[in-house]
Amino acid sequence: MTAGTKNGSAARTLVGGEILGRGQIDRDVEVDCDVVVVGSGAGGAVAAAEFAEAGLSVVVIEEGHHWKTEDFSFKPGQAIRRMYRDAGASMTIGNVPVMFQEGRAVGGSTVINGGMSWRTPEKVLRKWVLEDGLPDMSPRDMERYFERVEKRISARTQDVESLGRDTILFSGAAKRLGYKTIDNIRNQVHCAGSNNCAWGCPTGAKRSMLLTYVPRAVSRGARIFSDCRVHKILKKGKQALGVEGRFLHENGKPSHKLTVRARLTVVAGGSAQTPALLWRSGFRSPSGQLGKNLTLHPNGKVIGIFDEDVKGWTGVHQGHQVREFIDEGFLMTAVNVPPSVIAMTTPYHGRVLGDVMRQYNQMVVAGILVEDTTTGHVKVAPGGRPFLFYDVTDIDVARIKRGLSLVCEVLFEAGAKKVLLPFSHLGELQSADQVRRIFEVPIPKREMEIFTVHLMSSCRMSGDAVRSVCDEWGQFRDATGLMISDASMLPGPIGVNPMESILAVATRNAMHVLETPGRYLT
Amino acid sequence: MLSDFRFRSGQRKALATLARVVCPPELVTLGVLDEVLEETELMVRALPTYLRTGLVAGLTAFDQGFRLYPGARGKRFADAGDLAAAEHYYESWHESAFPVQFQFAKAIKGLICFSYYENPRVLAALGVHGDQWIAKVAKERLAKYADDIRRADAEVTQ
Repeated sequence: MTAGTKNGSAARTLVGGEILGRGQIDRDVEVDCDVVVVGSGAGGAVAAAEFAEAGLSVVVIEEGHHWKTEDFSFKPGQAIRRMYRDAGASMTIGNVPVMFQEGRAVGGSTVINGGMSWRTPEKVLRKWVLEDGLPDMSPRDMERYFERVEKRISARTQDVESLGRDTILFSGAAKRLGYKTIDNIRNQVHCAGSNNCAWGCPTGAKRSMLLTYVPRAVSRGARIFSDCRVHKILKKGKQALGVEGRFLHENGKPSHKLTVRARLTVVAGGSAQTPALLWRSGFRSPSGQLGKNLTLHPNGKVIGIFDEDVKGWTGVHQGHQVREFIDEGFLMTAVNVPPSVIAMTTPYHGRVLGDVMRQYNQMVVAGILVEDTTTGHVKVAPGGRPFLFYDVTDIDVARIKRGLSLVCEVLFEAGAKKVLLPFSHLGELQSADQVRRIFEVPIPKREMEIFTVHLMSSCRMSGDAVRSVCDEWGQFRDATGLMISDASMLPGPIGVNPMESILAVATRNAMHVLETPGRYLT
Repeated sequence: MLSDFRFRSGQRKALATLARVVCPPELVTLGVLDEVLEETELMVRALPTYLRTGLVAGLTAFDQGFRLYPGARGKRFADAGDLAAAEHYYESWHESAFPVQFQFAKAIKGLICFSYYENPRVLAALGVHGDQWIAKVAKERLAKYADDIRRADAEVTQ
């Protein structure tokens, strides 16, 4: 790896294996390397580590800051400002605004996710093989990649003492109702149940990219530049040549320039940012699919209020999942949410809000994750910012209503004295008998409160060139030296938390490059 | 990332009246209004420019629009002396058939109430002690699983 300033003098002695960011860069920087990776989340960190382990010189560029375990605490607002793109206030444009979150930190969204580590369901892999032209992605083919990543992120079930009362109440009731309920597999080493996953794990138990693949890459010589926004991919004709970006001051204003020339450019900015970066760099997909096929696993939640103290903040975030309805397209779980987020999203204000919130310690928040049946698309506005367009279909609205009604039944079975719905004119339910009101009363779509953290498939890969942006190994179809390695490459929704799918597919694609370097490392 | 944005005094005054409408009465009894407004401003500074601009424009329209509201006596919302009129006015926006009014009312209420329930004194009054819990379980984890944790940490770079 070589580097220097624009005039040729050394910007810094580059020995590799370090993370540099705001405050450590005092001039423009130019770097030559084998592989540049844009983004350090689930896809980017894996690609960086696999390539660095193979002896290639690797540079990773991350827009977010390098926050460490000791920076994390029970301060959701501070965490949102620091590590959530746009303070977590991003919304899709469509018939129902869907609030979505993207991580922006070294480690990407894995620093702020719930840590669910599920293999891609076999039915989804079979679909990819049969319908998406990906013959090498059968469950048997993917086994070795799942095993590799599970070992590296310590995917395992929770220690029993970390389970919170909310999980015990909810999963216990689901079991009594005869629903299939499973222990969550999470990337953690003796998770303490601090219930702070979404604000950064303050104990280091959650094995996000920040604590696994990023240090692994750095230990093999990868250089990580944080606090740097990539504006464009450098190219000559249809050959990607690296990237150009600017380091950012704390107020977001640009400072010094970073230019990285590389034999292979890996884009791993997530399903909103990746198509935007490709688009503003002048890349187009002959299939017309760039930015299309966006799926997002809509989530909805309800709040059960109990007579007993639950204190949902004392115990692991999502200890179990109810998988009984996975074939109907949704799963259910108890998931604690901090007071500020509940107050923000419930349809109450003033004295009524105060009355509801005084019962916070008696609440069990539970929700659903829906495998969506439709797709949206990403469009890039003048200036380069991506906007997401997505219309929730009537089928998915029906799934959300059915899912939430079942969650209500489970909560009443668990002993809830009432359940608060996320629809202002329906208010609350006092008993399981009232659950049918969800179906009897038309719910205006604008009143539905839907959110997601699972944006996927906006640059999907497939063996069929007409339907895809990437080929079957994640290579951008209309350029050489350009590869995608994040959730945007997934062929479609997978119905479960997608982190491990991203890790495994990113591993598979990186290993393919390493097996045939003459083809990809131009 | 935090932009250099700051609310102007008139905007801050309108927000203060809004906070008295949308937050529980303990906003006043706990004496946390200024802290809530500080937190709200921090959140607004973290928003992308297009959202921040929209929010501030919405706040201006909301503030000035109060002048035309029955019971406002020509005053801006920021200067509303009658909290009941202010509350009815806020609710008229929240129930509005116009998406822009409805979305603004929902967003600004969300932002202010989020900030209110971030306040340590409010959390303490609710009986939520997240940092104490984290400190307790982190200590117990280290005491019980120190060897496993060291081994796992060492494996990261192997």
